[in-house]
Amino acid sequence: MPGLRSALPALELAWARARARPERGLLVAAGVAVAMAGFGAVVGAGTITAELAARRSVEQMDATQRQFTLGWYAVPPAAGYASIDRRATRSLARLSGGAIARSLIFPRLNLAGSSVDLAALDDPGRYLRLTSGRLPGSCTPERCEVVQVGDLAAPNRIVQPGVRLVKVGTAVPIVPLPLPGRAASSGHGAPTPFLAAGSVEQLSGLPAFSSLYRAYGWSAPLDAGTTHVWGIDGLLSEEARVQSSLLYPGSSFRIAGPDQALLDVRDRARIGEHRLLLVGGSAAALLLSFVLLAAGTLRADLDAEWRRLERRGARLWQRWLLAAAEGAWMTVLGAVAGFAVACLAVAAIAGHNSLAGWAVLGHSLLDGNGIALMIAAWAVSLAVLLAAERMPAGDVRIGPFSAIDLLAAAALAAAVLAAARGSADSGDLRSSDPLLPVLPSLVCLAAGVVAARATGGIARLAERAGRNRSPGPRLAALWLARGGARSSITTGFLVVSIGLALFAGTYAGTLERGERDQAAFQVPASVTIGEGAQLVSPLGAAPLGAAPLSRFAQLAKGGWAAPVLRRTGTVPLIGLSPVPVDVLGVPAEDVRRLAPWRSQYGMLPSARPAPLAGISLPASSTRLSVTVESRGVPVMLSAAVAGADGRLQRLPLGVAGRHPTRLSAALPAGGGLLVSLSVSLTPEGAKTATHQAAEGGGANALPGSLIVSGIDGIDGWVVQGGERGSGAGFKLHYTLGAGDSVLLRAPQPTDGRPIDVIASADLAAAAGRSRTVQIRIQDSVTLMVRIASVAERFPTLSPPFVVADEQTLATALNADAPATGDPSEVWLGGLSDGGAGAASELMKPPFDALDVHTRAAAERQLRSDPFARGITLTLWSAAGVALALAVAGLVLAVAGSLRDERGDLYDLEVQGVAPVTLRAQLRLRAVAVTVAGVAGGVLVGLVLAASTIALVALAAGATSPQPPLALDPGWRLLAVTVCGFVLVAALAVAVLTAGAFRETMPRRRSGTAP
Amino acid sequence: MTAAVDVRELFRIHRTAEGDAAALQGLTLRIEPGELVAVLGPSGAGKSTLLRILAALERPSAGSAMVLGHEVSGLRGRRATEFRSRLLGIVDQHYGRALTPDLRCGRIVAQSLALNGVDRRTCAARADELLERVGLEGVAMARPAELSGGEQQRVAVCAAVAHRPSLLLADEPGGELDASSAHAVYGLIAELAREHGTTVVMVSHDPATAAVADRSVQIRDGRLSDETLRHGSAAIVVGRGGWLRVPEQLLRDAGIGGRAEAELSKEGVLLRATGGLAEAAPTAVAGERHARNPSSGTAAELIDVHKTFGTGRRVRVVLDGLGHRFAVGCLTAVTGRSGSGKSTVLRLLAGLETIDEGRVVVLGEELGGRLRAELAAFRREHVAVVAQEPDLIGFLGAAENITLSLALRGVAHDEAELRAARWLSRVDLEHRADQRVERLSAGERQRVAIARALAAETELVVVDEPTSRLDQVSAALVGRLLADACRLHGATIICSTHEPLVVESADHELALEAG
Repeated sequence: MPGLRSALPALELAWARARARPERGLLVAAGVAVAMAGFGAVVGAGTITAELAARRSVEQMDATQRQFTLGWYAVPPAAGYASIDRRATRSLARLSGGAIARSLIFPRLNLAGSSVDLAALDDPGRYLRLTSGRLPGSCTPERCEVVQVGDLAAPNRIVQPGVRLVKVGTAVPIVPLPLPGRAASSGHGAPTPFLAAGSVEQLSGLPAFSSLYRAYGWSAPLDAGTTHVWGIDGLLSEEARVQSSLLYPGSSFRIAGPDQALLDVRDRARIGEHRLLLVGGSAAALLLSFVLLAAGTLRADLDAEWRRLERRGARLWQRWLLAAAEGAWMTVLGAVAGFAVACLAVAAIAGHNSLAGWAVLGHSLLDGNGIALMIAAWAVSLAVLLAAERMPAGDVRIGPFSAIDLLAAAALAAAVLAAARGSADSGDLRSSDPLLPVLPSLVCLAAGVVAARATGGIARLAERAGRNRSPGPRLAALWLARGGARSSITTGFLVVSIGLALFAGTYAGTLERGERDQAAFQVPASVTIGEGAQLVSPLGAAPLGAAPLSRFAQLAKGGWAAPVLRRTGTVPLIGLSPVPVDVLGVPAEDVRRLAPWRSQYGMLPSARPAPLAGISLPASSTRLSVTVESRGVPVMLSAAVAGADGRLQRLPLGVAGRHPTRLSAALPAGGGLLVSLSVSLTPEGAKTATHQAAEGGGANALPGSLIVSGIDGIDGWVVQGGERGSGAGFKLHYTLGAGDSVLLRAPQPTDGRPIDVIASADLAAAAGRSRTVQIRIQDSVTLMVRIASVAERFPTLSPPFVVADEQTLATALNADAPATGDPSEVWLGGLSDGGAGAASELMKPPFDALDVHTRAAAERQLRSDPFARGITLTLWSAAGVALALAVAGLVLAVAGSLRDERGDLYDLEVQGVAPVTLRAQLRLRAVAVTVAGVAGGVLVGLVLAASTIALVALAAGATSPQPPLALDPGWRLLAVTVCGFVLVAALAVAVLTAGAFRETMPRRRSGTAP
Repeated sequence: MTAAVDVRELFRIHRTAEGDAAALQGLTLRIEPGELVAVLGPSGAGKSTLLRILAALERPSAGSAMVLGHEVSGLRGRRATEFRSRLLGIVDQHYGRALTPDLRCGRIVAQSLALNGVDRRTCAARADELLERVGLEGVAMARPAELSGGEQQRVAVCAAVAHRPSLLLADEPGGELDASSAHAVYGLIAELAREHGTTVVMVSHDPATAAVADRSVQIRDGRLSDETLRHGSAAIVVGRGGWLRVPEQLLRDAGIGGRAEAELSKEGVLLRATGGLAEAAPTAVAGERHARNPSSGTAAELIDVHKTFGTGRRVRVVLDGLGHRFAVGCLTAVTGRSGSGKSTVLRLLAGLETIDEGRVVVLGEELGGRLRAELAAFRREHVAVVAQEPDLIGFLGAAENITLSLALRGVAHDEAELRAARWLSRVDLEHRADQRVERLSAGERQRVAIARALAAETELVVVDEPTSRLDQVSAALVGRLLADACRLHGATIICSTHEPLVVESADHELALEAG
């Protein structure tokens, strides 16, 4: 008892001090509350984010995958179906609360000479849509009603001893049928008719089938609303327990569930949660730095009490008890208030996202780990408070260095070493990488110490320079330079808090910018239109009455429409097998319109367009005619004509005869441009060539020649795949095999000169100094390209790639392989409504067969990702909390100065310093530490954001982003934030100091009687 | 018999960034159990350091200090606190700082008992008993700020003896009190100590402590120089190796300066001057302006001044129709008992207090009705103030405190540095000019404050108890300094004091009665 009693004076003293001057601790408690609320909210937000992500992932699972299924593969046991159904039902109920679907399927049966797949489904209306008749009713040996599923017709009645199947309707499945051991597409294209009864139990009980092997199935869906991220491990464990309980001797049960999918859901959720640790670490750093600041303001007062007790004979533990009790009430009050606010915030956010607030809290802040974490945060903050309050006043030196400097250097070294490990991607983040939570603290510790040291040094210079200044600035400089550690600590705190706020804001801004970048990378223009599932090309889908591209341009409504040509080629590299390369053709002028903020995209040089050349066919022409005469192998001709719409069409002209023959074909309306004539073997000729080769007649190529006449302007054409002969007319000599062709074509502007391209860095490196590369496309065209510029990346492409001017690329392709240069996509850009109107039009015929993407939708998709929403919301909130705390810290420091320096301030006034000057010097000091704090904070924020972006190679949605994140400080927002903070801080300090030195007369530090 | 305190060859060097300072230089002292010893000496002599070492709050650099059978230089941590808790009682020189402002007096007195685990009822009974014993019945529920300085110090004494310590260490217990209050406190300490057979070491600059002490010892330059027994016999202390300190007055009278020779005579050892003349006494600094004729006018005037403190039942009339003229160029000593309103008068003249009724005219200007800022400007131009507990800026050096104050008054930096050096020399602190004020002793701080005020060379200097922490020699020095300032600089100095040496130096005396 005496031991316990001797503890009471310290507690009593702490209580008396708290009661006499509560404001001293309340401000500290308020700061701790804000920081703890931020910390707690991050913990809760992690769970909310993970839960939303899990829900979304479960919702996105394939329906056949999103269920637990139980199968029985054997003849029924002696106890009958009911016994295994009970067991299965009980087992599935442990895994899912959803309605259990029951099914039965026999192996293919031969009944009365008909081969059928016979099954039973309880409540078949859930799975089938009747196309005729009705759903089956009862199933008895005398009459077992069935429905035919699918198109394969089954007899209306199948009768054999012991069973009489009666078809009562036909149906098609509307969802995958829950049949054990049968693919999800059951019923579709089954080689035998598929019949389904309406009751598993009844079909199972037919005596005629009693000895037949069969598969019973039970399935229970995984409900996204009741599948929680925190329950996944438990669910899988329960599944394992169910499995072991079902594997009794003689059991034929097998259980299957979306185990891997659930594990993936859990792991992805964990990635998001772990990344939030970054914010959690920032909140922790903020909390600790505020506690350090608070300790600085409480120190003098506690120190006086400590010394009083020491002289009074108090034991060390009694003095520590006082300090601990005093620190405890402040931090406990702050921690509890912060914890409560965090709980409210988490519940509100959960409710806003349609999650059960209590459930989320029960698995985040209010579960064992959450409570332990908050208690640990409180305990650490209390320990830091006590340690800082009782730290020796001067620098503790270790050799020639001060301990705090060594600590800061060690923190910096640790941060650098941690960073040197390289970037952490989603794989790393599946585990608890300690780098993330620790990084902000390490950087902040180093930055805070550097800022504190720098403040002292700069203030000393200012003090020397300000010796002849007016009293206000001089006193301010004097106190900043030599008036103890308060100014340095305050500056360090402001650097940390503002730095963390700006880090959070910058990182959130960068993630949001990353989403825009990703969307722009996926959808380079406002709208991209490509081939749909029916392989209809955009230009093919457009109305033929007008130029297709202009039709798309109309959709763009004042924007631009760009034809885009996408091909895949190969680059032969020495000593290596050909490397596949993406080839993209985009109009050169439109390349500049693509996200000009990304210099990594490179630029195409401005060059003359290289349109397709050929013989102009008047608009009045309706037919193309050509006179040909062939020798040798029989050949046929076709012409490539570019229509008025710019598309190249192949027009079959017919088979050349041994005598001059006039071949002709109808021209598309509006005339066009004759680009080339193609000569190839007739089908008979091809057969002959193939036969000859098969019989060992050597090569499968057959020689021949052809004279072409009747076309003006053909003389200058070039021949590919053959040789031009001399004499009258245009004479060709060739050797053709099956699949070969000889091309007689107009010279093109791309002939003989390489095409300028933007190339990926790897391709450019492979090209070496020549900067030219040959790209083989579709085994028929070889492009010589010259690398005009190098791009790190280009929207929609993965390295290696080249990007060329679309028209030039099309000309080059069409020249050597007519009709292969058609655009495969159309990009619409510059749309005022972000493409919504165009996208709406494109939903209608004839465009509805196309694959349409809008950048706005892509952005929406990325933003709606729970991880993205979670991290950005949390980061913005953290930024707000940090700024609020920065203001609170500044107020705390100024209030502390007013309290602890009142003796000095009184003395100055006695010396004749006017109250207004005293207020001014206090405000000047606040301004100085604010300016230093803001400057250092901006630097720390940017460094922290840049290093985080470099170290955590993840987009907002916790995926590896393409393009990688690029730091986006958002200078305007940064400036507004900083100005806003300075304004609020100035206002707070002005209000706080406005009442100082306003009493009628100055008062000494303690009450004195006359 | 084992001595209560047995200190031998004690050294203590304070190491600071501004240079090392030796507080104790081979001090040897033995105190018997139950003895009350007053340790006297000038400020900076090492009195407080000795007390801190005896209390195991500070460790000596060399030597040994046995206290109640414990070698305190070896006491650390738990043993040191146990030692203080069980055996020591400490009375601090700053009662304002020694008493927890947030506790009621009863709890403060009982605190040391409670810290030892004594039950609450016993604690309360003991506190009541002690408070009643010192005439403070009824203040158990009051907070320290509600009491006068003397009352607070009595509470502090009660708190120090409540657990019946074997050794009571009192550091300037009357340092912040007027003479009569200080004497009362000394008497109280002696009485309480003798009742319980407590050994007392009472550090003070005040010779009045000798009256209650069994023995008074003088410390000079960190060593024991001489001692006086209660019945009057005095002796110079001869230290180890023959070190002894000859009183300055004897040296001066014998014409002994920097060197002397000693020879054995029939009566003892004869000391005579050798190798030169005695050092000349300091004279007035050449070039200083000469004094105006004193009393040629009125520097300040209090006209029918009424001032009360407190409200309701606690209302206390301090000045009731006080009227007085303070002559220009004169040193006026304001005397009176504690609570008579000396400090209030000074604060009124400095524009640091408002009056309820009447007028305060300083240098021809009416102070009443002026705004606080206007009063500050007035002080900056015309008035220098030395508070009883000087609030110098602790992190600045002694000279820096003076130069800063002068700079705030518009004195150029170079001139300010010159004045700082000059006035620090006058108060005998030139060797401590660069030392941070927070590291100076209370007496040294007081002297710095006086130097700062006089360096301002204002027309009016208001000084509140300038000798409260000074030994007699320093007090005499300050008295002369103030008188010289009036004579040589023409300053009007109004000084509240209980020090006869200062009163003797004054041109006028304003004696106040309570109310």
